[in-house]
Formats: sequence, C-alpha cells, structure tokens
Amino acid sequence: MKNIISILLLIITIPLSVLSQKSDFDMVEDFKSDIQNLSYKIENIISSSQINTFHMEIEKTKKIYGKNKLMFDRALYPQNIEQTFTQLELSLLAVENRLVLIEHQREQLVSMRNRTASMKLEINRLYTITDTLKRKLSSAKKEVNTYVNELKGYNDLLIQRDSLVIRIIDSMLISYDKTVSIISDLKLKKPKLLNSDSPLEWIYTVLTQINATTDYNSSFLTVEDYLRMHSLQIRFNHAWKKMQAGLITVYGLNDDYLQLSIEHELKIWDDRSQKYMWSNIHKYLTNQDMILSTFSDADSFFESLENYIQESHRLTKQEFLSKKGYIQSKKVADFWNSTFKNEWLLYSNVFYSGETQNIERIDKSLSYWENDTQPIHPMFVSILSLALVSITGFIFLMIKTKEKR
Amino acid sequence: MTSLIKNILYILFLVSITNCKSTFMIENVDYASYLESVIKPDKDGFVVDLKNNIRFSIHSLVEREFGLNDPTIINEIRLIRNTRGYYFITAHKFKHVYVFLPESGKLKLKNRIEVSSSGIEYPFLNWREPYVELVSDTMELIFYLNERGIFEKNKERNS
Repeated sequence: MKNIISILLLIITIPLSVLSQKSDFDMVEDFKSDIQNLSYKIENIISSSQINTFHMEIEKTKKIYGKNKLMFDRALYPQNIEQTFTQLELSLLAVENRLVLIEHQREQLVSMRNRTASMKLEINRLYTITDTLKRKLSSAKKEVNTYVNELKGYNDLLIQRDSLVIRIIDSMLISYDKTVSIISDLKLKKPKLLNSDSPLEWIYTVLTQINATTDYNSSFLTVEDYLRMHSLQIRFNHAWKKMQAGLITVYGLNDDYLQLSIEHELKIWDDRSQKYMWSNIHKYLTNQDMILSTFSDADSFFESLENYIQESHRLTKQEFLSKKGYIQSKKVADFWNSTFKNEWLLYSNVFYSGETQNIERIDKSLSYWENDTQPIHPMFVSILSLALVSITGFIFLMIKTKEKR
Repeated sequence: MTSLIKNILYILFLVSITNCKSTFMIENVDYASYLESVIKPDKDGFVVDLKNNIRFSIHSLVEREFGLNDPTIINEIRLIRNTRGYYFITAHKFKHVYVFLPESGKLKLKNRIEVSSSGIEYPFLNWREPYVELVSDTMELIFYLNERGIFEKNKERNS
C-alpha cells in the first residue's frame, strides 16, 4: 500500500516539478533524486506483481525527463539519460528474477506445507483405520474364543450324545434280556400295544437325528471322534440286532415299515461313518509320515497297517545303533494303542469274526518291531568295548608269556 | 647590402619560427559547462566547483555587490560557464550577474550585468546555447545573457 502511494505521489510530483520554473540544476537534482527513489523502491519490491507497475513508472519517468534529453545527457556526463534508465530496467529485471525465485520457493514451501498437512491427515486417517482394525481384531479374537468354546461344546455334546445313546441302548438291552420270557409269551398271544409307547419309534427317531445332525465332513472332527462314532454305530447295530426280533414282535404289529426304516437308517449311519472314518484315518497317518496302502474297511485297514509295520520293521531292524526305527515304531504304537484301540473299543464289546486276531497280530508285530529296534544303551556299548579290549590284552599277555618260556 | 639582406632574412626566419610557435592553437573549444554549479561557501568564504575545477574566494565579490566584507551573508552562489569560457556568477539578492574571464591565477571581471534594481530572489542559471539563461520566479522576464550583456529578455522560457 505504501509503495503504491509513493508511486502515485511520484507520478503526481514529477510533472509538477518539471512544469514549475526550475533551473536545469534543480531538474537534474530532481532527476537524480527521482531515479534514486525509484531505484530504492525497485530494490525494495516485495512482490513480483508490482513489477509491471514499476516498468510503467520507468517508462513514464523516461518520457518526462526525455524532453530535456540533451541537457540531461550533458549534465549526467559521462552517463546519459538512456543509460540511467537502462540501469534501472536492469535492476528491475534482477529484482524480478530474485522475486520470482523467492516466490517460486515460497510456492514450493506452501506446496510442501500443504503436502505435509495432507500427509498428517493421511496419517490420522491411517491411525483411525488402525484403531478400527485393532477393535475388529479384538472383536475377532473374542469371536474366535467364542467359536473355540462353542466347538468344544459341540464336541462335548457329541460325546455326551453318544454316551447317552449307549446308556439308553444298554438299559434297553438289559430290560430286553429281563423280559425275554414275557416276550415269548406275547409272541404267542400277539397283543396289541399302543404305538406311542414303542421303543421302535424312539430307535428310529434317534437314528434319523444322528444321521441328520452329524456332519461327518466337518473339519472340526478328529480321528478319535470318527472312531468313537463308528464304535457307537457298531454297538447300536449290535443291540438292534439282538432286540430286533423281540421288539418287532411286541411293537411291530403286522407292518414292517418301522423295521425297514430302522434298517435303512442304520445302513446309512454305517456307510457314512465308515467312509469318513477310514479316509480321515488315512489322512491322519499320512500327516504323521505313516504311508499306508489304501483301505476302506476294518479288514483292509488291519492288513494295510500290518504290512506297513512289517515292512518298516524289516527296513529298520538292523539299525539298533540308531533310534530312528525305534522312534518310528513308538509313533505307530502310540497311534495304535492310544488313539485307535482306545476309541475303537470304547463302545464295541462285540468283535466281528477275525477282528480280535487282527488286533492281536498287530499288537505282536508292533511289539517285535519295538523290541528289535530298541537302541542299545551307550553304557552297554562302553562296557562291551572295555571287555573286548581287556580280553585282547589278556590274550596278548598270554602269548608273550608263552614265548618267554 | 648583401649582409643587410642576409640579416633581414635571418630576422624574418626567426620571426616566422616564433610566430609558428605562438600561433599554434586548438580551435573551436567549448568551455560550456551546460549545467550551473550551485556552491555553498565554506566558513572562510571559499567556494569549490569540482565540476569546473575551480576554487576561489567570494570576499571581493560580496564586497563589490553588497559593500560588506562578510561572505557568510551568501548562502550559495550560482555559477555557469559559457562556450567561450566566461564564468557567469550570481546569487540570491544580487542585483547583477558577474562575468569573469579566467586568467592565470585570477578571474578577471569582464562584465557586470545589472538585472534587478532591488536584487533577484533565488535566481538560477541555465545554459541555452549560445546564451546563459537567468531565471527568477520574482522577475517578470527571463534574461538571455552573453559576456557582453543582456542579449534578450523574454516572458517565456526558451527551452
């Protein structure tokens, strides 16, 4: 603002000074003063937007003083008026360059400030996202914990269900055994009992519910679960076979619909439980580095496992100095005793033909393998070596003594 | 006779040599300073014009103009030189413009041009070739001067 006022004053005062009666000397002095002022103002320009105003100002001043060019040229000797204005223009140009540079730097600074502000906003946004993610993660952890607990609950419920089914089946069997004589009488009399009291209905309901609710393909079921459920199926099947005739006599009346339905559900249960059980056992063993040939039922499983044990035994029985074979045999034994037999025999107290022999054979094979590959204790090796050295030394001494004689 | 002629020729020869020496000069010299010098006297009454390379005392000038031997009554003098080398000197309240011709170690008064009976107020001198222009706001006329005196008086400036 100050600059503009000064320039306006300069514009107004210069013509007045010229128009009034003045000596050349004063005019020259005024000229020098004006040029000095202009030069000073040019040096103190703070914005490139003022440059044009000063260009115009120089032109105006040149026009005004140019009228007395000759006088000024002589008075300003060795300089002249043109040189004076050229110098002014040059200094204005230099100032302009400087200002443009400064303003460019200022622009860059502003740009950098803007970028910094933008980055700060971005960082804040990221912090917010991070917080949200942290909250989500925390929530997800809680959900996972809940899920794990629910899964555990599900597995517990499965076990409880199986146990309950077994208890009911057992109690039914006990009751059945106690009432066998009565049933024989009923067989003759053929009484009519109400369907609502029929255990056949219950058996059918249990079977349909087991088949409907058991997801054999669930990734949450373990090998132990499959084995336990299969064991339950065998036990249930066995109980059914035992009670089937009597129960149908008493409750089945003339129609065999329920019987067929129960048979059908039992078949489904058996097929599905076996299919998933064997495939999962195979997968589990493969993951444990126990590569067995394929199997799809109990017989082929026993055969495959026995073959594997014998083959592994053959390959490792010479390695009594290393623990490799022994460790392998222990791993198979661990699966066989702790996982398989534990669950396989949990509910099944009745074995099919040849099953006991198969189990015994595998027990024996495993025992042999384990014994053959049990590594020798290092102390024993040391004692043996010491004994050998002693005997060799003794023989050597004996020979020497004999030679002296 | 012969010796007389010889002597005369000898004298003519000497005169021609002497003439040759004394008449050699650079002509068309312009002494004009184009711009007046406005000089403040120092406490001893001396003025120094660096532009014209001249230093002199204004004692006698003041005494001549005012009849006083006190140069301090002059605040500043105005001095300009014309093409022929004459110095034109005047000052505030002077009635005259003094025209001096520089000589060896002195300024010789050539002319004293009366321009005002009551003394001119704040005069100034401009070079308007071939004249020296005398202007004062208090004077109605503008004077154009040369070393011989007032050449012209005008109402308008001749610039």
